[in-house]
Amino acid sequence: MSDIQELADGTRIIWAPIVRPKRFAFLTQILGELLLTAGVVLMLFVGYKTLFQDNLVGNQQSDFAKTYTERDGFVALDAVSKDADIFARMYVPRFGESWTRLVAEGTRWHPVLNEIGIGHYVNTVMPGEVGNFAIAAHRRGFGGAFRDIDKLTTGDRVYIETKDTWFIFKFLETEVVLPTDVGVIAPVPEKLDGSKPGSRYLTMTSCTPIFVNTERIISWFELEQSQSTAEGMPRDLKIILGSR
Amino acid sequence: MYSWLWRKLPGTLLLKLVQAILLSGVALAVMYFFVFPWLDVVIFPETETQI
Repeated sequence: MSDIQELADGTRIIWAPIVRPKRFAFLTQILGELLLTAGVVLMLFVGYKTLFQDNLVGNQQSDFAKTYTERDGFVALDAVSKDADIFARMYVPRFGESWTRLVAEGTRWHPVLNEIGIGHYVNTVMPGEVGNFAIAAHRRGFGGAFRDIDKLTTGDRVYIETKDTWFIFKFLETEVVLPTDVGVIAPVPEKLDGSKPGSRYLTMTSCTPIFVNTERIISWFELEQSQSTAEGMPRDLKIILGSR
Repeated sequence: MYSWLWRKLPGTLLLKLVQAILLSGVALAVMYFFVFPWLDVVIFPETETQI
């Protein structure tokens, strides 16, 4: 109820009663604000995982890879013995002219995939050996080293720099398989058209679809050429990197 | 909750706005550099099956 007061000049003042919020209304207001806050925090966390952390870690891995040999040097391929031994640096021009990552032994998240970038399946051969040199990296999150693996196409090359040798692999094909199809990293890869014993393969593996991860995306390469590191960086890679 | 915080901020409207933005920035930085990295490990423990 409101009271109406009329002044001498005819002005009417309406006095409205002060309505105090009931306790229930107050609690629902607090609850509503808390829920809204939780929603905003969740969205921020998604942004953190997909953009902030991904880019931050990706840049760290790239910088680490570019400056690694000057400080530490690679473990020789025949001396790799334990988890996280760093034995190679990988260049994939298709992923970007400045894209480079280190390759370490093992496929554990920490410290190999999350911090270093690329991991080598321990039960597969080393680059250049007869068989299948199989590696894995994140597709998204923690730098997403193999984010653009689905963009690899005919004519693409991958360059692997080790302590003594440069290996150049040429692209063969890409396939999406189930996580149980472990034969894709066999010495003679299953599902690879025309695969044959005695060849020297490189298999890149990652998760797909991005953020869903119910399948695996596989890209196969075959050794095209190798040369001593004493000869310096392969000429075509030098041209690509020189154009930056 | 937020209206209470707003009322507690001292100064003019402009000063309140500046303070609110600064406080939001600090909260965001704390979340991105401390809370989320911790939360990430809690929510996504290391597994060998998803890369």
